[in-house]
Amino acid sequence: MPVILVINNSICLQCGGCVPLCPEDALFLTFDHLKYDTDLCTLCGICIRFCPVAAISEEDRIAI
Amino acid sequence: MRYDAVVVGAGPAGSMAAYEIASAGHSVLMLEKHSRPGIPVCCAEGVGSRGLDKLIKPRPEWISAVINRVRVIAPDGSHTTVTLSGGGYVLDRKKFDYDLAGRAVEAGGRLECGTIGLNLTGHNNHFDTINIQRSSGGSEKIEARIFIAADGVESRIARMAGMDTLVELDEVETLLEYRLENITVSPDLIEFYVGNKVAPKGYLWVFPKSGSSANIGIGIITDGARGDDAMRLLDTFVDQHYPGGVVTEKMGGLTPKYRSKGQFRLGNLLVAGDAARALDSLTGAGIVNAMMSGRYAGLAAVEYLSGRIGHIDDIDRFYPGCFLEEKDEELSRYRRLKNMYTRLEDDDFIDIVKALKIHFAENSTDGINAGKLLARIIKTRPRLIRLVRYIL
Repeated sequence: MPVILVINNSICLQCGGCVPLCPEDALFLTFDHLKYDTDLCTLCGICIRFCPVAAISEEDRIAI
Repeated sequence: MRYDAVVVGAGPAGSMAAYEIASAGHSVLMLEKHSRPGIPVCCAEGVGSRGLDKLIKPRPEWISAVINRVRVIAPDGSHTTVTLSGGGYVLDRKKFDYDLAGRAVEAGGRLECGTIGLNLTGHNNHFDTINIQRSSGGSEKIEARIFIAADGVESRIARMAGMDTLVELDEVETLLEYRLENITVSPDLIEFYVGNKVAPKGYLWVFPKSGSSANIGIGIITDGARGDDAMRLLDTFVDQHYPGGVVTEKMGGLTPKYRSKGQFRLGNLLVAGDAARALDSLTGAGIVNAMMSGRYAGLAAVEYLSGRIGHIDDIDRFYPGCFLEEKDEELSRYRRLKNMYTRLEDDDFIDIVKALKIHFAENSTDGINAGKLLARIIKTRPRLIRLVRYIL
């Protein structure tokens, strides 16, 4: 089952701290939300470990 | 559009840079991602008055609280309170950043909010165009002769330009801060709680905004831990110490380590403030360093734009040269201190607070700052207990 990164933008504080930690430069803080490039993300989990409010998580993608 | 200079980020670093460039009569465009400068606040808002006063005369409306005393609280609850001779401020960053950007505009700079610098293009580290995107939609290519990246910890512009801005997880602090209202605090006192139960490898702070509100935050090293430990620890602290408090704002952030000469310039791209990692690794203090680096970057850009510098590499003398001359030694020392600090055990903290008590009973606080003082004490760490006995 493929795993994906899930960003909960309703709790993200937009501090941008995770951005320079991403080895793949996949995270991007746009005008009002955090997004990531699915092609670049390797699911290394560094951003998940950093986030002070647990706004980023890994979730199984369920094919419907 | 074409400008002499483009500054990305209208925080303290970017606004100081743009002010210098505009004051010298050159055209400068400031790009700010958010709808106005000063938001969102990701800051404890504390600043030493000496450092700030040297750079700018503070307006009364920028100051939420005037700080005269610092208290350090050890893991066993013992504490020492020091009266500062210089003192400091807890700022209102929303007003402060807004006014600093306004000052650059009054000097002739142009400010565009709701814009992101998407990419920087050029040849052989000589950049000539920045592609910007507007929150209202649409993009535009802006040409300039020199670029200043003052885009905060994200430091995306420098990364796009090809600089290695990657921060290692084991050398950053995860920060979380609440604005707490409806509490009772001394408006002239800042508090630091230390110890590995309260804030592993970091510290917890209480910075008053008034007699009834404060910025209460925590910084911890997340290596081997989880960032949201910061939230659990902060919640525990707030519940215990300020049970009636109301959280009106939450702020996050990170303190990367200072890199000395590492991240200040690539060709005609000058990097300033948090984007250049120009902050005190021990306390995370960045406002004065950002303003100073921004100011020097702006002055260096003026040297280049006015033709007084022939080759771009000669700009080093001015930037980061002037900044490093003034700050490198101090910031490098803080970085070393931070490395030592993370190795302290709770018993060390208790002894340090004891030593502080004695030190300040006997010494004036003239010109003292937290870093210098900690340096003095941590240096004697192996003999700390013997030292305290000796003084006693």
